[in-house]
Amino acid sequence: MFDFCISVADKKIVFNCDSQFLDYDASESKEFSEHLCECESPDLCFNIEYGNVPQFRNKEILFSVDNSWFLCKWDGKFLLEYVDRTLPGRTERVGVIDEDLTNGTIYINHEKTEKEKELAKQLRDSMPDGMVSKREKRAEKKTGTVKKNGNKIKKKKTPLDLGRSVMAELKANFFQAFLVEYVVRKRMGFIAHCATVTKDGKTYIFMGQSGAGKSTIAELFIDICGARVYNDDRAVLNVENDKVIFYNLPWTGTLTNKCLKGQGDGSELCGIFFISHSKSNVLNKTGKIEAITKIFKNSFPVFWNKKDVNYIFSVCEKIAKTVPCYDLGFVNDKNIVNFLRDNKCVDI
Amino acid sequence: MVDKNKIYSKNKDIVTREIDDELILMPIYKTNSEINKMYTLNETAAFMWDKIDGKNTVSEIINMLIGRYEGVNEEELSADFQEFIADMKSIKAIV
Repeated sequence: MFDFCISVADKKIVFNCDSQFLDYDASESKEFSEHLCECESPDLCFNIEYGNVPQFRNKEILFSVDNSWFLCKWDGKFLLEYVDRTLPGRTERVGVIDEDLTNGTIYINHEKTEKEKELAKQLRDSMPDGMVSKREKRAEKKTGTVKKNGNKIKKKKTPLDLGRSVMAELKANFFQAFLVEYVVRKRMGFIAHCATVTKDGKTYIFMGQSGAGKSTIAELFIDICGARVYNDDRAVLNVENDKVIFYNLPWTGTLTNKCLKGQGDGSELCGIFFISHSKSNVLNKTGKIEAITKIFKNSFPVFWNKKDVNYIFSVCEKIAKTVPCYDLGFVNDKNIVNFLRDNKCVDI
Repeated sequence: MVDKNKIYSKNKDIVTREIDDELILMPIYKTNSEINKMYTLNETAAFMWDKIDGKNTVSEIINMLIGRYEGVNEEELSADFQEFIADMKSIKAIV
């Protein structure tokens, strides 16, 4: 049993769980702990139920990811469902959220039985390469056993162990997918793939997909000019009063220990760089339309909803109008900071 | 060869944003397998797009183009428009 409240992008979100099988201490969590706040007047409450997941029939699928995540409309509510493809018919998690996104229930399926684990393994082994997602491979590694004197013994999970693994999964998968929708639907901007680097009240954003070099360039700025990094993987971006603002999120990329925690300091966004690794440092001002499409492509958009796609575009347009945008190919060495200073693109 | 009496309509599941004289097309998707497909139309293509409205026939739109771009070879304009139709059909932007 537990309850706690976190603040994400200025919204208070409560997680409450009455199950005796689950326990959790959010202050222990590396990333949640920095977002903890008082539970008074929350914007959104999630009840967490543990056990058998109910069946939700007659749902309309709005958007699906890899045939494992489904966003659906059901009985006037939103339903976010994660299905384990290696166990047909087994739903791992379902979140049912009121249409106005103020109350929801998250149903977590009980741990797989030994028989179900064995079945899942057999099915995974029979899948051709490429069919098994990274997530499923990770799940396979978590065997739930420890070795003692060379023999595998079953590790008994306490409610706290179980709560930790359930919340870690929820944070990494369910909550992340949910927030993408939530941020857009509440017209709080959108979530973007980017590293936010800040110093002396000036913030620069380095955008790119996984592998583009966000963590690499963020770390160079930390090491060379003592800049601080809020997050090396994602942020909420929005435009308020003609100013581009960002909020931090409880997920980081590979620089977890070097990232600043908390919401963001409200510093001004002074530049956006669309980055890629390169053999030499190359910088070009990005044209307006190109900048808009690049910001959009680096967002986590809500693809299925016309109004929401239009809204994200409108925010991208405002950002591209407000902040200078550059294409940057960079070499992973210390010269990059001076290169950008010499080109008068950064002033930190 | 495009039937010149044919009337095309825009696919309703497409988001368009006009920026300066250009137009961005973004189809709406229901799965993550097709994302990041975005198309930018230049001024001429944006004009063609505008005229595809479920009422104008292909030959009527070609005539509008001839009226708009005086001095440009008619056959060239017709070929350009037919190519545009083929492109838009291939991305299901028009039906």
